[in-house]
Amino acid sequence: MGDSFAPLEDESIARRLRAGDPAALQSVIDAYWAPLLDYVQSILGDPDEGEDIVQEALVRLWTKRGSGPVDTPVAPFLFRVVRNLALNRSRDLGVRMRFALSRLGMPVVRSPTPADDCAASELATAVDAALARLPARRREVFELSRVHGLSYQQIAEVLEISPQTVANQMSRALLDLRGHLSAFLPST
Amino acid sequence: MMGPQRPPLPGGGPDSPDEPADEVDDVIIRALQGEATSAQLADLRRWCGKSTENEAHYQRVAEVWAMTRRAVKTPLRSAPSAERITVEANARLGGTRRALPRSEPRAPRALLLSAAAVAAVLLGGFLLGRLWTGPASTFAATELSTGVGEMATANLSDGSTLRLAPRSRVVMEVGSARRDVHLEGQAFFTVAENASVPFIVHTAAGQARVLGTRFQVVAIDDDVRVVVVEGRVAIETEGGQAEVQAGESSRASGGEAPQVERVDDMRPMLAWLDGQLVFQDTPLRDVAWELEARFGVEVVLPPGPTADRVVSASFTNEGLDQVLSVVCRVASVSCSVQDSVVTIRDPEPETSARVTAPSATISPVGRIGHESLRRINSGGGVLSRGDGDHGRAERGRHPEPDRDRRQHREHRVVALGVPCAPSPHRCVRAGRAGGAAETLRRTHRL
Repeated sequence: MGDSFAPLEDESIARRLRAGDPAALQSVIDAYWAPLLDYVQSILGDPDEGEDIVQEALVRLWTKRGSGPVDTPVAPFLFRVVRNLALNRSRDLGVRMRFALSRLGMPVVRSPTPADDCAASELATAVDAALARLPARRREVFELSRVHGLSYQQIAEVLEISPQTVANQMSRALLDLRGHLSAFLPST
Repeated sequence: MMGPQRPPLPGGGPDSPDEPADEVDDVIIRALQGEATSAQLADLRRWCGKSTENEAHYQRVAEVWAMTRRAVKTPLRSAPSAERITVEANARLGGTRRALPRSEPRAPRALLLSAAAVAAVLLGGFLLGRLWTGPASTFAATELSTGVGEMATANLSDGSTLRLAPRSRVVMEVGSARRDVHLEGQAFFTVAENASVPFIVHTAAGQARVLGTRFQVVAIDDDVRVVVVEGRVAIETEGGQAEVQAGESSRASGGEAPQVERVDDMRPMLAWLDGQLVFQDTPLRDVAWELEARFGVEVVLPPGPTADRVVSASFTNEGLDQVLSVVCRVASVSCSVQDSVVTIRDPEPETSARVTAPSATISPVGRIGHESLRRINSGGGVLSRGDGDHGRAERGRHPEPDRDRRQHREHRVVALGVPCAPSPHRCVRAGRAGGAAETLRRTHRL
C-alpha cells in the first residue's frame, strides 16, 4: 500500500468509469477495498463490520458515475460516502455493544507480518493510547493522512472542511502526539 | 512540549480562527506529507541548517510522524468482483430486487412428489421471534441470495417464510398452483398450511416435501441434510425416501437413501438463525463450510482423517481470528490465515507445549485431545479447558474461574508469543523519517 492513491486518480480511470468500463471499476475496487474497509472499521471500532458499507459505496460510485459527484478523484467520493454510512451505522448502539462484547473474546491467530514485531511492543501500545487521546476530529484527519495517505485537499473533501483546517488539525495532532509520546522520543 | 526557539518561516500565517499549532510544524508536516511547495522546502532546509536545535526539532516531528504510521489492515475477505457491484447497481437502477450473481443454479432432479398439508407455525418464541431481525420483503416468484456473512428473510406470498443463511441461494416459485423452492446452501423454513399445494424444497441431492411446519435444509453440492423442528418432512433422493419427524435429522449424500437419526439438541444446528455459530461434535469438514460461508475465506483441509475430527464450540460475534483460534485448539490442529485462505494442518506428532513458537500460528498446547477444550456460552468469551469427560462443562454453565484464568493466560502466551525487541527503538528506527515509514507497519489491536 503506497502512500498515496495518485496512480488511480488519473483522467483515464474517471473517463473509463463514466463510460461504464467494468475493468476500471475493478481497478478501483482492488485499490480501495482494503483502505475503505479499514477506514470504516476504525470509525465503527469493530474489526468485523463494514464490508456491506464499502460495497454500498462502490455500488453508488457505479450508479452515479454518469452524474456530477464522481469526477476525477474517486477517493474523496468513496471515503466520504463510506464515512457517512459508517456514522449512521455507529449511531446504532448495538454496534458499540457488540464491539464491547467482542473485545472480551479471545486473542487472535494471524499469519505473522512485519508489523507483528511491533504489535505487542510498548511503543505500539503507547502510540495507540496517544492516538486515542486525540480529539475525534483531529484523529480522523490524522488517520486519513497517516493510514490512508490522502492529501490535505482530499481529506478536506471527505470531511467537508477547508484544507486549511486540515493543515491546522495535522499540526495540532503532531504537537499532541509529541507530548504523549515524549518518552519514546530522543531528548532534546 | 514546544521545541527550541524557532524564528517564524516567511510566508505569513493563515487567518483561520483555528490556527495551526505552529507554523514551522505546519511546514514540516507538509514536507513529510509531500504537500510542501518547493519554496517551503527550501525555507525549511534553511531553517534546519540554522541551528542544531532546529534540526533536532525537525527530527522529533519526523519521528512522531514515522511512528504513527499505520499500514492499512489486510481485510479478511477479498474484494468483491466488479460484476457483483454492477449487477447490484443495475438491479437497483431497474428497481428490481437484488440478485447477486452466484454459481449457476443446478437443475433440480425430476423426482416424484405429492401434495401435503402443512400446519401453520407457532411454537413459542424460541426461534421464531428471532427470525424477524432483518428486513423482510414479499415475493411472488423470485430469487434471493446471500453473500458472505449475510442473512436474508423472505415472506412468501402464501404466508410461508424462509430465512436464508450466509452464502446461500434460493429460487422461489410460489403461487396459488405451486410452491417450489430451489435451494443451494442453508435455509430455515416456516411453511404455511395449504392442503392442496405441496411445499417442496428442491436440492441437488433430492427434495424435501413438507408435511409439517418448521424445518431446515442444508444443501451443499450433492449432500442434503434436513432438520425438522416441528411437524414432518418427507425426503426423497434417487436412492430412496424417508420421513423425518420433529426432533430428527436426515442426511443423504450422492443420491444415497436418506438416513434418519434422532437429534437430542438441535439448537446447535439452528444457531445461525441467531447469528451464532455453534458446533457440536461437528466434523472439521462441516466447520470449514460454515467458516467459508460466514467469513468468506477459503478453508484448506489436509487430506486424511483430520477432516473427521469433531469440534464443539460456540460463538456469537467473534471474528474469524477468534473463531479459528478456538476451533483449531479444540481440534488440536494448527491453523494459519493468509490472504483469505485458512490452512489447517495436521497436528505435530509431538503435542508438547509449543507456546513459544515464534509466530502467530496456534499450535496445540499441552496434551489436549480434541474435544477437551470447550468454549462455553460464547457471550462471556471464555475458554475452558477440561480433561476428558470430567472437565466437559455443560452448555450455559460457566467453568470454574481458576481454570478459566489459567486457560486464558495460556492462550495469550500463544497469541503474543512473538519475539519482540526489548527496545522499542528497533521499531522506531525502522520507521524513521524519509519514506522508510513503510516498514513501521503497526497493526491495530491484534
